[in-house]
Amino acid sequence: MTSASPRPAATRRPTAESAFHPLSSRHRSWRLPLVLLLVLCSLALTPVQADDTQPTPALISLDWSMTETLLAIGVTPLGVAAPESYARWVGAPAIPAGVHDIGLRDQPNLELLARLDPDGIVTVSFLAGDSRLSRIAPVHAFDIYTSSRDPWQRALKVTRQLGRLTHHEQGAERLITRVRQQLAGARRKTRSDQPPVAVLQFIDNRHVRIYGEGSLFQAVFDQIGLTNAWQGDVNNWGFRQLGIDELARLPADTRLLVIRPLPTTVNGQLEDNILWQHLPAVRRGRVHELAPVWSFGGLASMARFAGEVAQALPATEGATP
Amino acid sequence: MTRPALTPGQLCSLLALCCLAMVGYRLHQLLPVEQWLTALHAPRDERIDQIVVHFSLLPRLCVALLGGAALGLAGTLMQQVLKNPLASPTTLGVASGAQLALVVVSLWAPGWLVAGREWVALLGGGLATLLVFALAWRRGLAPMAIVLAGLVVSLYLSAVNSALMLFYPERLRDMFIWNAGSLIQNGWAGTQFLLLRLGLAAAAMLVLLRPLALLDFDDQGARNLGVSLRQLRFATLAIAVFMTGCVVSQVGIIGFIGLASPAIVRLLGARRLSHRLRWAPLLGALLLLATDLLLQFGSGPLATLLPTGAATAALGAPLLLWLIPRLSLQGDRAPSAHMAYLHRHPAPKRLLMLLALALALGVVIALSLGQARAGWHWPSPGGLIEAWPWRAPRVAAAAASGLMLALAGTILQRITGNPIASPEVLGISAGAAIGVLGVILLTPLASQGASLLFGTLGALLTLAVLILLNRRNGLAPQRLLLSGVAITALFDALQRLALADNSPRTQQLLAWISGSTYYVDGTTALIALAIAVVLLIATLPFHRWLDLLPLGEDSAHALGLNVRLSRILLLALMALMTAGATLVVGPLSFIGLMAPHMARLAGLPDARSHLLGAGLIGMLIMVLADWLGRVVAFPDQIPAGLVASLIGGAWFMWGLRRL
Repeated sequence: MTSASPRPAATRRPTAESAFHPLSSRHRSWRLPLVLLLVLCSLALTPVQADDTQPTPALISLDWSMTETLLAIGVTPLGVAAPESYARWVGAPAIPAGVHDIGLRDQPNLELLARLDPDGIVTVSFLAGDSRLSRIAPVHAFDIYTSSRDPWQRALKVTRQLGRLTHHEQGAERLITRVRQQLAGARRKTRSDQPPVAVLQFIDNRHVRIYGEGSLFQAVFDQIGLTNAWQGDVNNWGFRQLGIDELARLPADTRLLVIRPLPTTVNGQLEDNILWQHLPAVRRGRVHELAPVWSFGGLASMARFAGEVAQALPATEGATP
Repeated sequence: MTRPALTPGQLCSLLALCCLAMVGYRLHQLLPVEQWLTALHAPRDERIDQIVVHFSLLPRLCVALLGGAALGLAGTLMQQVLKNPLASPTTLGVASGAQLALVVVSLWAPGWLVAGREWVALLGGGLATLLVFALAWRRGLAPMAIVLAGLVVSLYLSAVNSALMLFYPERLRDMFIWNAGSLIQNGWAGTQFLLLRLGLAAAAMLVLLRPLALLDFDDQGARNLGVSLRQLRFATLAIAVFMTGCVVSQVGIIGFIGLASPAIVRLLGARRLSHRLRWAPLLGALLLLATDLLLQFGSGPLATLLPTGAATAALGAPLLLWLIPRLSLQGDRAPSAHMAYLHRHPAPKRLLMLLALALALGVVIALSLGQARAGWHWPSPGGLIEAWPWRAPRVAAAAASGLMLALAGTILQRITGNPIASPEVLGISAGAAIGVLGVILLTPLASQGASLLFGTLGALLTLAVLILLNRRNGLAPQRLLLSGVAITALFDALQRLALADNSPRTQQLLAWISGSTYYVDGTTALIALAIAVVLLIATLPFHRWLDLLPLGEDSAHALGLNVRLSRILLLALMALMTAGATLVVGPLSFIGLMAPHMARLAGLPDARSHLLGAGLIGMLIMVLADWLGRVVAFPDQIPAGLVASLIGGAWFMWGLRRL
């Protein structure tokens, strides 16, 4: 039981980021009481198996993947960070009206947080190092994107942990079941001999971000049986910035998945992008634009991406020369 | 000066050979030798390796050569016109103007970008240059006035830019790379664009060649020969700005080529303009090409994009530091007459009391007046107690850093006798920031103690470098200032390199660089305040030295002062204060520049009241900046350092105009 307690493994071994800021004093003192508190909480919750009738704690979410997951399991947070940008970059599930905007993700407005008096603060561990957050409310740090590079397993775990924390175990399980079904559906639709695919986002008309090991996209590929064409190195967040000339290094039969939104300077300008037009995938019409997906999202984003991929790939199968 | 070991021609040939070897090796990596010719003139569509050579590698080489040559040429022209070997496209605000314009347009009028990035960049760069000209107009576009104005405008626009990047990291992804100048190409369009425009600019320049050569004489001589100096300067600078704008809009900000290549050529003995015009563009082209080729080899194993522009800047900054003591600077002294506005307030004590009162009022406002969801409000006594633990540390830290920076600035301005000296301008802040940046990027666990230690070490090391490099000329103010600019540029380059990665971690880096009191807790605030007060008390006894030093070395010496010792002691004090303040509010603020200025303008000329007055003003501005940053965009928070530089920069520009 305790192994599944909401106390995340990541806080035990602080990453470089957890102590990133030179002035974010890293007080360990809050951790022990917090661990005890969380263990007690989870122990107290065990007998009441999956009881969705308990009052939902009023939570603040500082990270978009947490906001997304909370909303997806049916919990409306008290406040979230950067809701306007969330609407643009994550999109779904939408944040209901009345949820407080508590400022930027890296610098939530502490005074406002204190005034809102939440029951808990949900965040990722590299933002959780601030001892002042835990003075306001217990801080729960969950990580999907870690150096272990297994976002799928971690997303499942985090979803369950959030379910337990909010007494929405059933909501969490429902989300997991739904996502599993969607992934299975996507897997069925995708041919098993599908050539490799590469996921990229345009930065401008000369540079792209390509996603690899440890990214949301890789996690979905693993689940639906696709091969990532990009096997090169990526950074800790599972992506790498490249000049588009390096896309030529991808296997010749690669399909390119381009995540929207395209920057204004790229949108509609790709016809004039000579190198792009000469890439094997582009010449053979093996490029698919997909609806926006938050690249550091949770289960809901993964399912959405899987659906997009499944829809994009077979639809153009006949057109392949 | 001794005869240089190399002539410009020899250096260029050497570099060209290196470049040729690297190009050959790079081609060899990409394509078998027998296909080179095919790839060169008629690549086969289905051969992607030939395509990459033809549409990526070759245009990239051309753009590097063209861009480098254009920047070298622009730099030569600017240096000739401004008679300042340190004038360059980036120091005149062109680059930051273009940068800000692109950021603003991509956020609020993205449709314009489709019409052409380059036009937006040109517009921004042009506007920034006009602003620089306007600020220097009253002084007949005098060389030093223009460089000064350019520097300030650059810093100011960069501050606005950082603020926007802090708020819209996802939407400005392209700017993170563009800021660091990437030469990657996707076809021949960039080459054509540059070739056409640079050709036009070069043709226009040929017309100006003869009158420009006359500028090798002094102003009076040139005027006697019938040259309208103002028009000539204006036209030449316009051409230089146009060329810079073209390059910058295509590939982003390329640091230092425009500054370094004319300076090196001059150092290698090219004295006449015609000489410099021949060699500086060539050297610029080869320098940029060599750097870019080296990075193409290096970026593979590092798993990250290494943009060329920031790299040239990072490599160029140490070169510049080495160059400065070797350059013959015309009129090696502070811009004249700045220290002259010595009106004295009739009752300095009363003025100081007034300032203290204003500070008290500011603190009260900062602690109590806030914004909530419902709008502005004064809190109830209960609310005040509730808000206290969140507001008090920030107010205290803001005051402490304001005090330290103001004192540091006062000391520097008095030592150097130069009113634009400040820890920010002298690179001490940047040195501290490089130390902290190193800790953050290189060590897995950056504790506060380590940051403080390395920040101070960075500041002290910078100071040591400054003193070492300028020891021979007895810490001459002007050279000190120039060395400082070079160190600031180094930090700027490193920061751009670090930010180009644009991962969640760089976002926090950006937040810190922008200088926020956000991360200060109660303990840190108290420590900062205590350090500030102790340093104030430590500084006050030295007020006699500070009264004597601005009189000039000889007078100070005649009055019995050990000039070198007193300078070094005071500079060490200043480094400590700067490091302390930089850790809290980042390296960006203008407080160290502005507060001493304002105190002097208010009529506090003697060292003691100058120190106290500047300290009070510094605290007041910083406290207000922090307060504004907390309430204006509620619930988002704008870093105090940014707000301070926005207010301070505007004030300073206004002041410049009147000088």
